[in-house]
Amino acid sequence: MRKKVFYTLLSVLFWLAVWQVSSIIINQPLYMPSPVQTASALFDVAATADFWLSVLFTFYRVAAGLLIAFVLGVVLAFTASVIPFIEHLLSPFMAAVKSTPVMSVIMLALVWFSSSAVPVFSCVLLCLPVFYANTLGGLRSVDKQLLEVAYAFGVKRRHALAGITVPSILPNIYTALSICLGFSWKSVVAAEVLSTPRHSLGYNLYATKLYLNTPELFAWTLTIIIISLAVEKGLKRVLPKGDKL
Amino acid sequence: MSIKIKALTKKFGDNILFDNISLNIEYGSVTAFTGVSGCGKTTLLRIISGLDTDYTGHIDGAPRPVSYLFQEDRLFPWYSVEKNIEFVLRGLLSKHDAAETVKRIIKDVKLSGHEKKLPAELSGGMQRRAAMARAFCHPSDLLLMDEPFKGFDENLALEMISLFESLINNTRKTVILVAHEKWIIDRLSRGVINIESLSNNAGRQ
Repeated sequence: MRKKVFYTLLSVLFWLAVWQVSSIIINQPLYMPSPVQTASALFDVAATADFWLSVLFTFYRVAAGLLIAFVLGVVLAFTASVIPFIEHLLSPFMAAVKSTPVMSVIMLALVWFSSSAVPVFSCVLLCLPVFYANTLGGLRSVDKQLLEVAYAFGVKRRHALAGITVPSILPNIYTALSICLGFSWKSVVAAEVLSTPRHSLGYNLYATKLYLNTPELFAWTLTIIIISLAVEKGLKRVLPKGDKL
Repeated sequence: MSIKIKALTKKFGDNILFDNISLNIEYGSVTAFTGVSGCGKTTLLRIISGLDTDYTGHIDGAPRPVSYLFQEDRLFPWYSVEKNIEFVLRGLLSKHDAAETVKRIIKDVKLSGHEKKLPAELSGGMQRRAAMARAFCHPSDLLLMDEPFKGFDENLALEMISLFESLINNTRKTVILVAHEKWIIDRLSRGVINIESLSNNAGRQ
């Protein structure tokens, strides 16, 4: 464990050094601000209330998008696993959504919704096929032999669902969640850049480009990376394992 | 009173396994199914349990639900030993009674100290005993066991057989087991049914 922390630290330091060296070589903060310049820009923006409001609202959009996609994806997958017609019906839709460029989704959402709903919608649409496909795959691979145990012993359906089906598909849902966590931050911020809701990380990114403030662009990007990683690590800690159900 | 199997025909594709067979199994009896492998012992257990419904004919008087010790242990890999057992008691016993029952049966099958372990952390014989505990403590009127003592050395088999006898003696459970070993069959069952003689697959692997 300690060794792992040490190696992580070492590799972070290595990439920081690469960053520092390249910024020294390029010697143009407009193209490549150094880690120190980025850190100082980050401290500057972090001192403003707007920074925290932006973080909060973007976080809220990511959470809302993920939650809606998760609920929809899981419910649709359960329905499709019981009613084959639903699976056939959904399959072209899911396939189309999966190959639709993020930007097309965002552009369409810009036409349809208010600026604040665009990031949430984009996130839902991007994550939905992932939750759906993974959950459906999990439901397909639930061990029939274990379900037979429940059936033979007369265990009620809801207990079988909670005790067999849910623990069986949990790894699939976690896989989907870890894919979607990355997706969600990227899609929400991209949509925010274009829809520019008042409080958002995306809007701030957009503003840094307007003013050619590259250190701040790095600072905001770093913020997004840090929060996204923190959320992923935090979720891993709090999510239940199969034996806790 | 008995479990009555009437005019049972079971096919696998074009292969007819049972062709219009009938048999009776008395309530409260211990019956052994024997015969070469592939003759349909497990299939007949599955039909009696209600897991296999793809047949023609009638099964009357088979109690529901059943306790089933499958040929494979079929433990839930994400549950500890005690949760594996407790799971089949959900909705049948109160939480308190279930916990007491689980505690007692774990002691009976000599798994004390292992109740919190996952199946993967147990040896093959211990997994078998956990599956056995699950089937033994379930309060149904019909207990089905598919090669229950397979893989046990003789001492352990004897211990588990004594446990089985002590648990069964106080109940009116109907027991059907699949077994090959003559000494187990002689000791446990009053009725032996040679499935081979009923099956079209006698002598086939």
